[in-house]
Amino acid sequence: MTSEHDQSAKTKNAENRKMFDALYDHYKSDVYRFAVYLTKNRGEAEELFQDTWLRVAKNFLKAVNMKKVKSWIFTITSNLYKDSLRKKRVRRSFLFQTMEQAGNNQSPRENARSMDNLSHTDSSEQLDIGRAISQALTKLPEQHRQIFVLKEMAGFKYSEISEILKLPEGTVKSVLFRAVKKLRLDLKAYSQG
Amino acid sequence: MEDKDFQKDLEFIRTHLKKMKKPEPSHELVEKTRNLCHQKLCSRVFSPAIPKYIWIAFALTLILIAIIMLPFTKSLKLDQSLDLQNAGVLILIAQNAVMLFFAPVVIRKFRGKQKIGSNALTI
Repeated sequence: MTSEHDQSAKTKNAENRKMFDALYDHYKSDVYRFAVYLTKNRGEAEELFQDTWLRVAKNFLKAVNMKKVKSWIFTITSNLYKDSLRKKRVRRSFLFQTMEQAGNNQSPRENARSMDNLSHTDSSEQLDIGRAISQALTKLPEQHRQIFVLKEMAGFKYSEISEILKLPEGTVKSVLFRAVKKLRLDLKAYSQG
Repeated sequence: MEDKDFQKDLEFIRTHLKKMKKPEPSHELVEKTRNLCHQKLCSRVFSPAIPKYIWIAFALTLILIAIIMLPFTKSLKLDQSLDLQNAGVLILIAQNAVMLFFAPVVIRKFRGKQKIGSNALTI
């Protein structure tokens, strides 16, 4: 009875590993990119990426029969990111005001620098605009950036984004509209084409 | 007009986004995460389904208890005093109910620990 149970558990584990690997290989790049553009920092993105997949593995049995697996995975990433922001805010509240100000003054530059490394472009012609887009993205407010990345980079529909971020579809559309306007304004120096 | 402008802006950004090389996770990160996830998956306990005859026996026992106990409900009085003998029986029933309720949790924990131990040897 025990060996039978062990055997069936082993088979089940092997099956689950196989299914998990298929899911992981299919979405790992998308999840990583989302994490990078959310956190604007490679180190934090790697942590978020790993935490997301560990959460997926933990609740994998739920995912097996799910129709919208991609949305579910991105919801996990988004929720984990929100949690990490909340924790950061709590930690920050214990620091001195002056230190906080210094940190805030530094962050846009640091962000821009870290995002520069994220947007490698194929040709030198594209280098500047690639960097400019990355920098413009870091300047976007949190929600604007999330929605823009989900729509334009991860390829989600408005309804799916509204599910992931728990926002009304109308809000998603209007935020994306504002995000695009802001991005275009920041990229004014670059001609159409 | 505004909608046209928006589409134009969006097209402009999309064109350049397509040309941008997107960030990719390093091979090391991918494999490390995969291994951690595999460990997590294996630490889960996949209990076999409860056989049908157990459910049938469970249902029959419940029905039998209900049939036996039903006539005695008439003799129940709310203002009845609780002597030591009756209190003892009640405590015994409560203890059994609690044990039955938590038995699956204890068994699952025990099996989980066994499984983690065997995984540690194989991974």
